[in-house]
Amino acid sequence: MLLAERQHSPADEENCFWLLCAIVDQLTPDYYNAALSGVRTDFLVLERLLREHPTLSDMPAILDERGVDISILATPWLMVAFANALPPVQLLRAWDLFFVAGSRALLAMGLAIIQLQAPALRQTSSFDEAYPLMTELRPARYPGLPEPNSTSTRGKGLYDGTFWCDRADEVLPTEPLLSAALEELQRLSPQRLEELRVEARRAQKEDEGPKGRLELKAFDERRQKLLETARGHAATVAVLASVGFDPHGCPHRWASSEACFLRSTLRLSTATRVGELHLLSDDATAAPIIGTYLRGLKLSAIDGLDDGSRRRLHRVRFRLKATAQPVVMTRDAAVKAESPPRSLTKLSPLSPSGRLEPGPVLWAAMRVQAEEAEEARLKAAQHVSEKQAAVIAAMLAEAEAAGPDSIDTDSDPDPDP
Amino acid sequence: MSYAYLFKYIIIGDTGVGKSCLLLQFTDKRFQQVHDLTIGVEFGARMITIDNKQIKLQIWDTAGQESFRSITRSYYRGAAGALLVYDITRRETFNHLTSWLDDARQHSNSNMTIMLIGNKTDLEHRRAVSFEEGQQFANEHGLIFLETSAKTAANVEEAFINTARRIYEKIQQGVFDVSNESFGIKVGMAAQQTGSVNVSIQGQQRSSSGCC
Repeated sequence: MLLAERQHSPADEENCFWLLCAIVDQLTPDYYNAALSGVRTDFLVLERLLREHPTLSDMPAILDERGVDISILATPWLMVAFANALPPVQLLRAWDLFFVAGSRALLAMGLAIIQLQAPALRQTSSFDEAYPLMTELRPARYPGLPEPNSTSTRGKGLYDGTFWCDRADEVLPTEPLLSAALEELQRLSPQRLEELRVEARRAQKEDEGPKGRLELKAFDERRQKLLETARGHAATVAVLASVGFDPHGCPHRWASSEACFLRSTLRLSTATRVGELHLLSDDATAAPIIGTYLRGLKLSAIDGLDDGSRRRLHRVRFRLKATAQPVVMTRDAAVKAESPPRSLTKLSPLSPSGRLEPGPVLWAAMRVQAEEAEEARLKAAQHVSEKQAAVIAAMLAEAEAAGPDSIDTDSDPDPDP
Repeated sequence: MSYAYLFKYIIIGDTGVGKSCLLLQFTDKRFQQVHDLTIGVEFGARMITIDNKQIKLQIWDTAGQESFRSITRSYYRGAAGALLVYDITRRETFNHLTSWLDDARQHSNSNMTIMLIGNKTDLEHRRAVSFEEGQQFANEHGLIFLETSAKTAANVEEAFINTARRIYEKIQQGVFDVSNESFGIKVGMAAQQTGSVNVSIQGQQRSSSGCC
């Protein structure tokens, strides 16, 4: 949207659209749905992170005493990604981090701000003193701002046109702020964040009373069932592979054996299957698999679906389209690249002028991220192969005991191993 | 600046009824034609004088969109006054008042002073809710009522100040324990100096010891 406003060419508008899709569907978890549930989850997470923080554990109590409910920070920080809080240079760095690490970066940036402002915050005695320390980190006066002495917080935003003015003034020093943010980012692994979110969501559902608890139960059961089915198919595929069945030779050119078993697990013949697909698409590891699956999917298979299912399917496709312009680089690319990759150049609002290309901080962050991703991938691959080997061994032993004809070589096997 | 009391206000009502414009008119004395959506909550503050006492109004201007209601509900906590706003040219904003009032009553302290405001009287030719209907709703629910125009500034001062006066009267009558900040009232240094109001010792200690 930002880009569309700046440069009125149709091509940019399309980029903006996909950027918006990426922000809404990829970078933030349910921040912009009808109930803003992701935002509500994340301010609970933020509070928890503060309580468990090595140096900031006194902050929730201090903020509460001054009437600063953490939920108030949700909008200036999480929903608009600091757009109204930070001065331009720091804001663009914060957005760099955001495009690399998603909403995790927003939480890290929030913690960094509190970290740097903690001494001042401890000295405050009222809401009026404490709140601006966290949300008004730009110099009070900007050239062109109509009412510099306005007592209202409104109109000091991105929209007033002063945002792009070339000012280096800042309330907080840039380097310490970004180092603190990076440190927080490293401390908060994606897995840890996911755990915290799941706990927060469960707490929210519990709070919603009987209806929420029922939903929670249904969700758990559905997930469990799906996992069991998937495990069953993994075992079957392993057996198939062991007897020489080549998953890559599938009619739809499945890229992997996982996609092959997903084909049978997630047949799009019924609406519930789409529901499951949607459920799986929330899981980061499942996204590429489903991507492969959907690319192979014929449109005719969707015709039989009801409107709700089709909408859900389109949401999944949107996500995948947005992923098609990857924001995260592989490790090799990050090490080799001397200039920002094309996808990032496009995402950085000020890069055309050449003045505000991703700086050393962003590059460091991207490397860390790429290494983490690589490590996780290797770990996962090892885990899968170990598991598969065990499963194959067990099944082969069983098959051998039962006789040579018992191995099922059907390409669309029964869910049970 | 020192004040005798600080009152926390919250402005609520459907989206586009003019909540932010009322605040802007009150704090900055200007009107903004463009509808700029409030995200979550915005803050404003102004000093007023009642009975020769300086009173600081800290105003929370909330987002009216349905999505935000799950978040803004927590902002009712500790509000001394609420301005419940509807748009006299859009009937549905008047019809939704009950739901807003339920929310306000459920999530605030029971002594919160609520003022009902029918905004946009400058658009008299498009009026869809009569003054009498507004007045009747207010009477039925025990609210104070005013019609305003954030554009022409008509009654805007009165809306905020009358609410403050009502809260001030309640303090005088001893309705609130002003040392308890959950009522949205804070005793400032000025009240302590003049000593003309019978405020609890505890409240004074809190505001002075908390200061750096």
